[in-house]
Amino acid sequence: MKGIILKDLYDNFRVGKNLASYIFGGGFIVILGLLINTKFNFLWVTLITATVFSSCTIESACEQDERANFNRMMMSFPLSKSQIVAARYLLALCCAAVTNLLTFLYLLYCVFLRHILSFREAAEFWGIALSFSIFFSGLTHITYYLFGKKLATIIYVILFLIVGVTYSLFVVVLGLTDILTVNRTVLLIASFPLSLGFFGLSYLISVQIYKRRYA
Amino acid sequence: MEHAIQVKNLTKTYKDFTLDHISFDLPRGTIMGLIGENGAGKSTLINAILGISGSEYDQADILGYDISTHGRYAREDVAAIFCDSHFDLEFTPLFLGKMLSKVYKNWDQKTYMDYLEKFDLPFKKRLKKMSTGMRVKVEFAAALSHRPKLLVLDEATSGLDPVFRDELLDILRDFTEDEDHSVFISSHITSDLDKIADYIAYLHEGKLQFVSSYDDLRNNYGIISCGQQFFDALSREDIAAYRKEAYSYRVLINNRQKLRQVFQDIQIENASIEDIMVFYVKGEKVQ
Repeated sequence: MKGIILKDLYDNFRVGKNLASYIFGGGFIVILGLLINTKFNFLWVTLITATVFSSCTIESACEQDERANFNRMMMSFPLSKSQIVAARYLLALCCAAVTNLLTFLYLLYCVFLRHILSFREAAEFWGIALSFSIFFSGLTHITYYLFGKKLATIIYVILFLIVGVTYSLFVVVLGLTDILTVNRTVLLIASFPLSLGFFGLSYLISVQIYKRRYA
Repeated sequence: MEHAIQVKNLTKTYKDFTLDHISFDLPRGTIMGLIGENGAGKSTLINAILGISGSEYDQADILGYDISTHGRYAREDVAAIFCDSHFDLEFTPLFLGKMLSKVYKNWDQKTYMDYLEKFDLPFKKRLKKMSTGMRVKVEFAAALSHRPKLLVLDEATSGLDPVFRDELLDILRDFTEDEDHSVFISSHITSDLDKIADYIAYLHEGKLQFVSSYDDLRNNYGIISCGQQFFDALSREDIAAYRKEAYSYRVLINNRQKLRQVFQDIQIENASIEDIMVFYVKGEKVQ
């Protein structure tokens, strides 16, 4: 599995156009995060960063695999199909860990340097964003295994827009104050195990899809 | 373990195609060429043997391992090169070695680097900037560097020029100098198989028409040109297939020695693998 993870890391960060899109996207979010110092922006940046960067490694890996029809060769390696899929999920978890660590640093910046919100408040939102990123990553992986790169990317963008619009609608309709007063502790306690559970379920579904595709 | 591959009654059914009860053995230390027209089922058979796709069978072992239950252990000692599946063109040979060292337990980086040098391949150049021939050489270098016991090639030499193909055939000959090493190669370029194959398996429309040693093919098969009278005099069981021409018959016979005894003056041409394949596909069978 290490070999597949290494390959996917290479596809993501050593292939020029993929690296460029990370730098562009990351740079944009960093600028947004540093320039606009509001609660709304903190929530937005944390959610977007965690969600996008936790789930996008599959996109580049899938694209490169489809281009070279690498799946056939990969299945001639001493790996089971479950292990091939598991490698992708492990990488996604690693990316989620790194990304959420970065957003945690951003949290510290917002709490202690900019004094935008309290630590408890920020940490609860960060936790919810973490849960959502794991859930979204699971959803994205199923989509890519089910539909392949091209169609899945379109669905991915649509899903992402839905998330953005939903969040904005909540803010407009309910107001930011109401969102902030939601019982976040309960939400956090419920969402984290649920997202992990969904991520595990997503893995099992993806294995079945992969096995069926190459039956 | 005497056989690198043992297959009995392997069947793979798709909606519009069936690989039908395939049985053959590939003895260790030998090269078997798999021939057949496009769509005959060669790649399907290779996928099934490697455990890439599922299949039904009475027995399907590679290197003594059942492909369904222990396929991934077997694949530790198997290297496969495909015409339609490649390494990412963004890879460099150097990265490829690093990646495969994490895939195969037996990976030997020194052997790999030696092959890269031997094939005169740049270590840090991306595959997309290499010629087709160079890429195939990288694939061969990668395939041979985890000390595989079985090399499976699916049309791996197609699209390469004759000089380059000849180099690759030399590599295969070197590889099979070790009695433990075997090669299962499907190829359209039957002249290549004429040069290296110990056994030939012929697949037609999902059915295995024959598996024979190359020497038996050379000794037993032949082509005769004859008229109607002579054709009628031939024993039907000696005729593998025939083609009717304007005023004569071209007959592929499968019992050359016997025919030579019966018709001592007859001229029998040698039949190449390509001749045999064309006769089986385009020729008519006697009733």
